[in-house]
Amino acid sequence: MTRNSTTSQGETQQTRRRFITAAGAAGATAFAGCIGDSSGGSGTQTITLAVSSGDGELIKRLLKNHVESEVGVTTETTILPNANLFEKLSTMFQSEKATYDIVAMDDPWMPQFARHLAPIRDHVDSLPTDQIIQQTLDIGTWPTPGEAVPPNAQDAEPELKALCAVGNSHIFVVNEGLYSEVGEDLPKTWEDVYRAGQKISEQVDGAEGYAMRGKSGNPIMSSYFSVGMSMAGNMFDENWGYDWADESGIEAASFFVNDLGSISPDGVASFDNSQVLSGLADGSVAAAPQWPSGTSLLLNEDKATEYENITFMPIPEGEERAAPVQGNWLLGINSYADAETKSAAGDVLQSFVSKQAQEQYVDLGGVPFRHDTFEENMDAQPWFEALYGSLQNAKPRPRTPLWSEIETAHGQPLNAALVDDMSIEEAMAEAESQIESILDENGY
Amino acid sequence: MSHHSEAAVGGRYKRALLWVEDHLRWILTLPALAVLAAFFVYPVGRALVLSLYQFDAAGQQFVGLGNYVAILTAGAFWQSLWITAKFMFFAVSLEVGLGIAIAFVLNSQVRFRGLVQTIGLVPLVISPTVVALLWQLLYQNGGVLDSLVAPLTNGPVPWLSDPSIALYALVLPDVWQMTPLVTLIVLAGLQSVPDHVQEAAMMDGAGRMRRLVDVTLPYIKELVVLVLILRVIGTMRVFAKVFVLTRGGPARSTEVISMAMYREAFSYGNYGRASTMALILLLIALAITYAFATVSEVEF
Repeated sequence: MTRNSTTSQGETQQTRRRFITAAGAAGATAFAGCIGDSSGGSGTQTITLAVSSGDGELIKRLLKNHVESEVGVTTETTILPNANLFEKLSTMFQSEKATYDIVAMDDPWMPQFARHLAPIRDHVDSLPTDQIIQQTLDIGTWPTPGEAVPPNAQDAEPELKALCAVGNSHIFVVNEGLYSEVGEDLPKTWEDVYRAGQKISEQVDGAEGYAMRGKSGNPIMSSYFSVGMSMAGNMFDENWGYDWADESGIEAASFFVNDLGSISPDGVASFDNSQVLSGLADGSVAAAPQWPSGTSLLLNEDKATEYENITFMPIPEGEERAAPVQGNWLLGINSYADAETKSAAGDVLQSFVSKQAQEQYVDLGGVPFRHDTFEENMDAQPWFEALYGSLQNAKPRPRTPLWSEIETAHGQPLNAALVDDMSIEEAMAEAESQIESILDENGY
Repeated sequence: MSHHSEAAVGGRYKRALLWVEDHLRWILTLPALAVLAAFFVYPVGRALVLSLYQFDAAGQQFVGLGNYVAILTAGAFWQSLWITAKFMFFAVSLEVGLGIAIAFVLNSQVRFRGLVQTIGLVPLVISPTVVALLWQLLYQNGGVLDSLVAPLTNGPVPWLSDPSIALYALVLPDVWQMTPLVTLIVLAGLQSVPDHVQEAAMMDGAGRMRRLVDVTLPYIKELVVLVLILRVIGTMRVFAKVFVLTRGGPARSTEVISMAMYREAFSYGNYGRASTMALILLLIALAITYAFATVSEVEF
């Protein structure tokens, strides 16, 4: 080996050592930086919340604008898409952690998560129960009063486990202009909807009388639930016997699939809410049920050519009753949080449901759930009156952790009937068979 | 510090550095191994553990192989697998066939080849959800596609609401989006075929077809097998397009396996069953990959 190559090899080794030393030092620094100081600031208690996107933004703003200063806490709100929120809550509750002190949940999740929530009345000193709409209190109570109770909750005493945060219920959107065109008054019953819808579909070019969310699973059941409940009564009896396969159930399904289906646009079996909304907005659809969140598009004159003709009503009645779908977002206290945190969380919720907070909530565009808030702010939104009426008649979806499976088991054959792949009788028999199988497997 | 202590410290430091030098290739591989462990080994391991549990409102219970038995004996699982297989067959056939054809065209002297290649890549960079939303507009009643086929039909086509055609309606957006990937990979292979080999074959009197079969195809064989494997696995996992366009309907005609998995996990909260289905799907994907590689005698 020559002297030059020896020197070169030595230099290479030196360079490599310097590189390794520098890389090691940089890596250690970066690692130390990642650990950081995880202790929070001194002073006020911090309450962490997990909420869903959409209404979650308004909840967060109300917390920042009003609740924090009233209660003297700091809130950290994480906003997550619906599916992610469900997953996060499932994971958190399974591992019995208190990642979030207050959690938002869609009311069908309540049967699954109720046992992980602290009783509200243990941490909220006084609730204005005379002002909060009873249906919204009932839906946050577990087991839910007046509804069939799952086997594993039969012995439990009803306890308020969550408070309403968004007083959602289906309302009925009608194009008053199209109804006038065919000489029909605004509908009070489903028969009125069908009769007027037939005239509109026959007489008005480019318009159909009704539109449903016909896509398989949750969309079609979301549309069908009001019809089924208002014409055929409760889906289950108190012992979880499926009640919609009898004559009235088949009549209700036939009305939905054949009658309402015949006055709906072509391809309605693949419709989800976006297609229904755009039909209402451009006047190609005369009537449809909607959640309040859809109203913002319908009242936007830049996006809805029919905004001047749009009117809102309570969900029509069937032979049994009117049965708007109740779909509240609820806020509950994580039972795995420590006592001090739960107490502060209770203060946050108490402030959130107060009259003053709810007044601000309405100003932000929120959906209220107090009688006084509705009565004193009826003009705040053109759909408040319809929602107030619907909410007081609203029916929750069956209170069972199996609701998603049941909804799918019912929605798939209903969708099949809508595309003439099955008769109504076959569809309802298939739904009954699958649902009973699901209930049997789970000990109902 | 004494002279001997200093020497001892210095010696230890030097030994440490030497050890690092000797094992440098493994140390520098550690970040990649960590990523592999985090994004493959851990998720698969976790899925395996989850698959041994049943999740319901009461919590989680150990059921051993109960989930596997339940799924493999459930008609709905095999039905979903069959629907997925049909989707896979049509989508992959069209994507690979079209992709190779387009690659050959682009490999010849085409004007504005660079521009065509660039524009052709646009579908590939759009997210599957956006692709599905775009095609939802195209499939609208009286929409663009209805206008295109109007001379052949008696009115609007129920693209997404007729159980007999909805699955094929899902194939089209997947072909639109993923054919450029096939084209890209095969074109790269075609452009790596040495000119002198082609010229030599021509000088030996080989015609176009003989050069294609005996010269070009052997060069791109591994790449074609690779795209077949990638697309087979990709179509097995199709989800966003199905979720946005049909949700598994109408009448379950598009209920692919990923929709079933999604429902188990995120609608029913049964992560055990969903994990079981995912692992079964993983095994099927591995088996298909092995079969392709073995039959084509390709090594990766």
